[in-house]
Amino acid sequence: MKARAVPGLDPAGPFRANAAHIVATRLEELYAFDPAIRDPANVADLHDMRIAAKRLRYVLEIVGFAFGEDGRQLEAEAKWLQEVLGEVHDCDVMIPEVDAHVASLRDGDRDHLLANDCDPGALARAPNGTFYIGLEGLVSYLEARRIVLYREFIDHWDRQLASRFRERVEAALR
Amino acid sequence: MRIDPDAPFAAAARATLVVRGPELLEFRDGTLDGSDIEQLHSMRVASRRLRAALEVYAGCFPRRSHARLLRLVKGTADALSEARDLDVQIDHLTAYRDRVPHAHRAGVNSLIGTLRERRAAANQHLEPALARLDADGFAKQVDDLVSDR
Repeated sequence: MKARAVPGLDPAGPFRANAAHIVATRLEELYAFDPAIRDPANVADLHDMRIAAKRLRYVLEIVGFAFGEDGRQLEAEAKWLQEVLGEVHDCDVMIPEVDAHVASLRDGDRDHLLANDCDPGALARAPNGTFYIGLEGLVSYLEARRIVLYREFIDHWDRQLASRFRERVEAALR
Repeated sequence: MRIDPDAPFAAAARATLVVRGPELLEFRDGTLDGSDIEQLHSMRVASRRLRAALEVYAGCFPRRSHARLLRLVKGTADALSEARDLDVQIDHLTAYRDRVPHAHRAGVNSLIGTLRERRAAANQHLEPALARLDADGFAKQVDDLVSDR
């Protein structure tokens, strides 16, 4: 996801005014993912919102001090969002990774059966027979963990919206 | 690093780069050594801080030299990320494996083995990426940008 350009920056102008422009743009980018992120199946939007949170966090690491306590709180919020959405993303990446690994193990066992005249009894000596249970278990675990993480994220996000956090931060930027 | 919120944006840009530039090189030897994965993590953090500073202050520097340095930093950061992401995946899977029933462990170990092979391959990308910092004159590029040459 390409970052939005920040219009109206002035290198000769004061640091705080320029910083406020950048933070406001990155903040807007972050909030633009709602309502798309209300559907847990929207993997790409959840991932892009993580990138937006990351960008906001790193900008605030550099310029946040100019906005006092509100800047610090916003940085902590961006960090939290980046981390929880990062964990959601890790599950989204790892599940197909495990599936691909299982498929390659199955290929090995198929070749073993082919080398043994397709005798089902040869499965007793298949090279990967002991691996499947752990990998299926891992996928179940990752799916369950993703559900828990997504709930944690959306509950937090809703609480944050209800607290009018964004409005307070935007007031501090003015 | 102290920046006056009322100072000109361009002055803050130079002050930030003077600090964030050299930080990238601090963990390079430890990263190449490879015996402590935290060295790589620290270098990755330094690379993303420098990249963020270059992006925030993009308008304060000459366009072409800024773009050249940013490209170099992004390339370094990408190579570091590839290796670091695999370190983290291996770490998480190892912790998971130690908590699951015994019958599940062989399968998880087989996946960890595949990731370790990929991690070794990532090291092959890391070395040339870090060597490029010297080849492309990273330190001089930072100096030139800061002094606006």
